[in-house]
Order: sequence, then structure tokens, then C-alpha cells
Amino acid sequence: MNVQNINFSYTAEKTVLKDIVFSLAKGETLAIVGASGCGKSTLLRILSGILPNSKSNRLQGEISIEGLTPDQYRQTGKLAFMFQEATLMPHLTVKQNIELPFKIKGRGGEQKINNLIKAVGLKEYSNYLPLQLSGGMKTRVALARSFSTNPELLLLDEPFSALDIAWKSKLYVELEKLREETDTTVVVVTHDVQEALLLADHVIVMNSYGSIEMRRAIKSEYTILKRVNNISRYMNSIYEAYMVPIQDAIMNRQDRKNEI
Amino acid sequence: MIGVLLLSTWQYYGSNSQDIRLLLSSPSLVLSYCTENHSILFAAALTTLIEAVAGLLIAVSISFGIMILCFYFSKLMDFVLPIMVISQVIPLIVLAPFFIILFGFGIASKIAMSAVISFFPIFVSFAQGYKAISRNIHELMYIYNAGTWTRIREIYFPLSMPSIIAGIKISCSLSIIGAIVAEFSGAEIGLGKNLYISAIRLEPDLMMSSLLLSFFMGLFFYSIPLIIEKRLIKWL
Repeated sequence: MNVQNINFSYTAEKTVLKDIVFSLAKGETLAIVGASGCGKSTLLRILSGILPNSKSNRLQGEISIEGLTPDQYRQTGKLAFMFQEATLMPHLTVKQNIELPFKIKGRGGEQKINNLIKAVGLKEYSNYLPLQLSGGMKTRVALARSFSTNPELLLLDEPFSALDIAWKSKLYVELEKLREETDTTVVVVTHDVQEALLLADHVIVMNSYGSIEMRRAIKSEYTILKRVNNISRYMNSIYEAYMVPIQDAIMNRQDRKNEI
Repeated sequence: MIGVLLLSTWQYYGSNSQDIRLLLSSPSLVLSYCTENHSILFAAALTTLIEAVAGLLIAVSISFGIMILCFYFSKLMDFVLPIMVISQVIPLIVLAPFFIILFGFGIASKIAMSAVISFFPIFVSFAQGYKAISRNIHELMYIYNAGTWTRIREIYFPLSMPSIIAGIKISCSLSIIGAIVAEFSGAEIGLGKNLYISAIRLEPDLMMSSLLLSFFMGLFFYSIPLIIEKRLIKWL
């Protein structure tokens, strides 16, 4: 993927993205980090071909994905997108939701769907409706759905922001495994720097003016195993930082009660 | 309990007051009238039912047809919806004599009236159901490069179903109203004709039996989308 000098504005008055330049090799993961409203999701929507979607949208610059424009690439069926909200079809079961892109595109397969359901830990829930699932479960369904068509490019828009830390870490590992298996190129938008460092080969930090503030390649440091280990280490540090003090506080309160 | 109380009150005043009997008859008189004239009443009710069902089915088909056209030609919705809303300013019941002239005294004019009056709620509910689908779902379909028919079949139609059924519920009673009002304007047979004659000839037994049949028909008609809703929509 090659992105050259992208400038974008919804209206003539305000530019949302300024001089965005980056490139990404097949199978690599790019994380885009930045504060709310800096244009991360807009950039992702441009890469997916959703934007520009009206005449008032102004897009300058060049984006090439395997030699195609984002819109042409979308039409090849190799693209998958995961929104911040799970965006599940409320009338379909877990299995039917995961199957939906496969049904539409004709890519993937039954075995693949079953493996994906298992991978995200929802085997017992495959006949449940989204109404009967927790927020975390819905995110897991959406993640499985995005892999159901063996995408070659996966765009993730703050996919794990609604999850608790335990499920976040499990899904980081699942994402890594799925990505490694399929050699999928991933672009993930997040405001969580830790998440970006754990998942990505390259990190771009965007400032509030819609430009790239900082760019860092971290590929050499990470392999799938190292990443999983890092995730475990991250989990332990979270556990030590948050859970241990909470446990201590509970124990202290219990001791005080016993004294009384 | 309330029903028994109402029936008892009706029977009491119908038996003891000449005025009430002339105006509302009484349950026992209505029952004996229905028993004596059951074949005539049944034929009238069946005719009205056929007109209402046919009208409703035509309304559903036309609504779906226009919506499908709007899905294929998205700009069409911007024109169609305002026209539909403006058309509702006309009290559609005034079209009944026009349909009698156009289609004659047979059931065709009643079906046309019933279809016209029940079309709007179904169409607008379908349009509203479609408009309520989230932007993310539309974008997801766009990313998956789903064709228009796939979108209609897999997403638009199922997700609009609760709104469509809400519209059909309204149209169920409207279709009966449409058929009965058209029968007022001139018909060979039907509950509307019975009601019209009963008012002219001052026949309270005929009027009350026709009214009760219309009531039960409306109730039966309304229960159908209710059952479909319970069976089909388990995700709300």
C-alpha cells in the first residue's frame, strides 16, 4: 500500500487531513494513533474507498493498493473493515453474522467459519442473536466476521475500545494468530498507544491538525511469539498496577471488619 | 368482565326502552337476526373481507415495488416521499365515487379504494424502516461490494420488517374502512351496503349485526400481522 501526499476536506473551509505519506508492505501491520477528532477514522474510510462519498468531499494525492485505487481494490473483494461499534445484523445469529460476508462475496468456507467461531470463543453461542450477547462478545463476532472472507487488507477502526482488559489481551493474540495465518495486511486506528505498540510493525502518530507528527517502524523487534509474550507481559503489568492494589484494598477492608 | 357488563347493560336497556331498541336493538334480537339471516350476512361479510384483503395485498405489493425501485434508483426516494406525504392532504375517502364511475358497482371499485387508503402507511413505514438502518451497516455492505438485490434481501427488508409490520397493522383496519366506505357509495353486496340500508330503513338489527361483523373482521385482520411479528421478529 502506497499513500502519497493525501489531503482531504469534507467542505472547502476545513482541511481534515494534511500531507499524509506512508507505505506498507504486504502482511505488515500499521497502527494510526492520535487524539479524538484528528482524522484517524477519516483516513481509514479513505483507504477503504468509503470516502470521498459526495461532491463536496475534496481528496488530493494518490493511494495505491496493489496498483489499484481504494475503490477498485474494494471491488476485488479482498478488503475487510471492522468498525468501532460491532455493527452486527440484529436479525442474524452469531454464525449467520460471521457467514454474511462469505455469503455476499463467495469467498471463505464453512470450515473456516466454524474455526473462526471457535477462535473467538463463541462456539456455544453460535445460535445466539446479537441481542443476547455482551458488548465484548459482539466485538469478537465482528472480528471473526472480518476474517471470514480471507481478506488481504483489514482495516480496524478502534476495534477493541469497548472491551475489558482481559478480552482485549485475548483478542490481541487471536488477531495476531489470524493475521499470521492469512498474511493479511492490517491498518488499525486506535487511541491506545500500548495497543498500537503491541500490534503494529509501524506506528504513525497524528496530531490535531490532521498531519503525521511521528512515525516509527518497530518491526525488527517483534515476531508473533514476541508479540504474544509482550501481550502477556503487558497483562501482568496491568494486573500488578491495577488488580494487586484492588485486591490489597479488599483484603485490608476484610481485616478491618474482622477486627471490629 | 367489561364485555359482560356492556352486553348486560345493552340487553337491559334494549329490552326496556323503546328508543334504545330502535337505535341499538339488543343482543338477543341481534343474535336471532344473525341466526335467521346468517347466509346473507355471511355473503356480505365475505365480500367485504375479500375486498379488504385484495386491497391490502395490492397496497403491500405496490409499496414494495416502489421501494425496490427506490433502492435501485436512490434519487427516486427524494421525489417519491414528498409526493406521497402531500397526497395525504387529500381526504382519500372522497375518491370512492370516482372509483365507482371508473370500475363500476362490482368489487373492483371497492378493492381500488381499499388499496389506495391502505397504501400510504405501509409505504411510509417501509421508507422509515430503511432510513433507520445505521450508516455503518450501509458502509459495511458497500465495502463487501454487495449488489442491490443482496442488500434488499439480506439487510434492507429484514431490518425494515418491524416498521413494515407496524404500517401493515394500521393498514389492516384502513383497508376494511376503505372497502366499507366504497360500498356506501354503491354496491351490490357488502357490510357497507348493509350499514347504509340499515340507516335509511331504520333497521337496528341489521345495523348492529353488520357493525359487529366489521368489528370482528377488523380484530381478525389485525391479529394476522401481530402473529407474523411474533414469529418473525425475535431480535427486538
